[in-house]
Amino acid sequence: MIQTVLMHVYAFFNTCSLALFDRPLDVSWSTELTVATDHQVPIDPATQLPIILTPDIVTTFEPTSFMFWLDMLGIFACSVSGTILAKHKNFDVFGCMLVAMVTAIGGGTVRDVILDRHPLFWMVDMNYLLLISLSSLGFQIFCNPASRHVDALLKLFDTIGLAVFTLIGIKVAQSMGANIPVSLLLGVITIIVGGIIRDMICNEIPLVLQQEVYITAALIGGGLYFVLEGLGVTDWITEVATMSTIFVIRTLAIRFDWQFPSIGLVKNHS
Amino acid sequence: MADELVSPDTLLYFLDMIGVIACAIAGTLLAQHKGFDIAGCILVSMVNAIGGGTLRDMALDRHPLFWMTDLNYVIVITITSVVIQVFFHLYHKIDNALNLFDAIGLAAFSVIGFKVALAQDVSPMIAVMMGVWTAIVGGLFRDIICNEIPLLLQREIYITASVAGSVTYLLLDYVGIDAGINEFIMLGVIFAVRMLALRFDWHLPSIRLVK
Repeated sequence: MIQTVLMHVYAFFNTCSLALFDRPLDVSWSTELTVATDHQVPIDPATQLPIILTPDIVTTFEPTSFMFWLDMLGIFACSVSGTILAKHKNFDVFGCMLVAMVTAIGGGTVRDVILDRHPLFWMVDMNYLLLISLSSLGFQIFCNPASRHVDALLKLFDTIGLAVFTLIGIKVAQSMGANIPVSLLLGVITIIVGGIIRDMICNEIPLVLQQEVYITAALIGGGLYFVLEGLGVTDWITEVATMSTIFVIRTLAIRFDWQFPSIGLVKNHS
Repeated sequence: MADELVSPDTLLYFLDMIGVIACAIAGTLLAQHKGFDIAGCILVSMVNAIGGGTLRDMALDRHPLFWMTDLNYVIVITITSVVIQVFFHLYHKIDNALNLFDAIGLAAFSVIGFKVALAQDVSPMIAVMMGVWTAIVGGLFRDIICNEIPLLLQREIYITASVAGSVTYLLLDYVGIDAGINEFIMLGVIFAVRMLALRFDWHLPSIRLVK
């Protein structure tokens, strides 16, 4: 599995390199950089994964598989954040798992129900539920929610999730024929509904609606996506630009504690 | 079968109605405590009773929703809610009965949700989850509307009972037991686990390594 992840990461950079400099990315393990003539990749019969990293497989890179890993990372982050809050409220084992599931797949589910896009993604692909259950259980067993490392790591994962889910939401909405404002709205719904339901179940005021620029980051990224698409930029560049914009804005907002000023005319003196 | 007095489906429907009544009562009681008015109480009891099934059907894309074709649900809920509001001062007398009804409802809802999901050809894991959803989401929404932390996620053996029943069903199905009998075994397991947990005050232990 680690090999597959590495392969996707390498493939991603390789594609970038091919597009920008018109030659493959030169890393020590790929000694023979010949142009791919045939696409016969040796497959390990046991794991059904490619045995070695050849230029063949890394040049036939498809963004969807890379998106899949980012998606899983975001799901993992949401699941862990749901588990932390649920643990904090003294929920039991299955209660924590339920909150984790709602947090991780709630947004996508609401988006798909609105778009009438059936069957739902987590009913077809069992990876989602497995990952959520395992990460929730593992976190309940091994981690101390009070630890500060967890908090920082969680914010990082959460930001990755924010970037990826927004892009996925927009693309899904577009593929179902929604127009631009609706696509933006559905992108935002994809990212925030999970967190809102999590906070509602745990009887908190939804954090995502108050916190540092969260929806705003998604909206800016979504706007950029449509601008770049309108200019006719290649798909994967648009996607990467969107994701990195959202990621950077959100990271900066956390780092420098950006807040929106209140736009009320009368200031409340408190 | 014609010579049977009570067919399994009729019995399941009957138990379902008992569960709906229990949920409607629980919803009305909580709403009354929060000082909701008549319509508010009826709304909370409706959400409590049919919310889980509705969400399940939406997730499985199963239209029309069950309570739109079968009006008995809405009628039963409304009447139950109004009656409970009128006789609100007597509610402590039905406390034990309510627990029993609630356990029946949990078992019936889980079995129905599980069966419906299996009939839609989803994987067993999804079916287990749908059984849990059908049983608990109504209560979850009730607590969200009334601004309480859901008790059923915190301490009680509630989801656990539903999961235990579903797993029993899957195991027995693997062994090769007839589906009709299997449903009632599942019903019994969920009911028994829930009642025993209430009686002996069972809780799941915390599984964290660091205390």
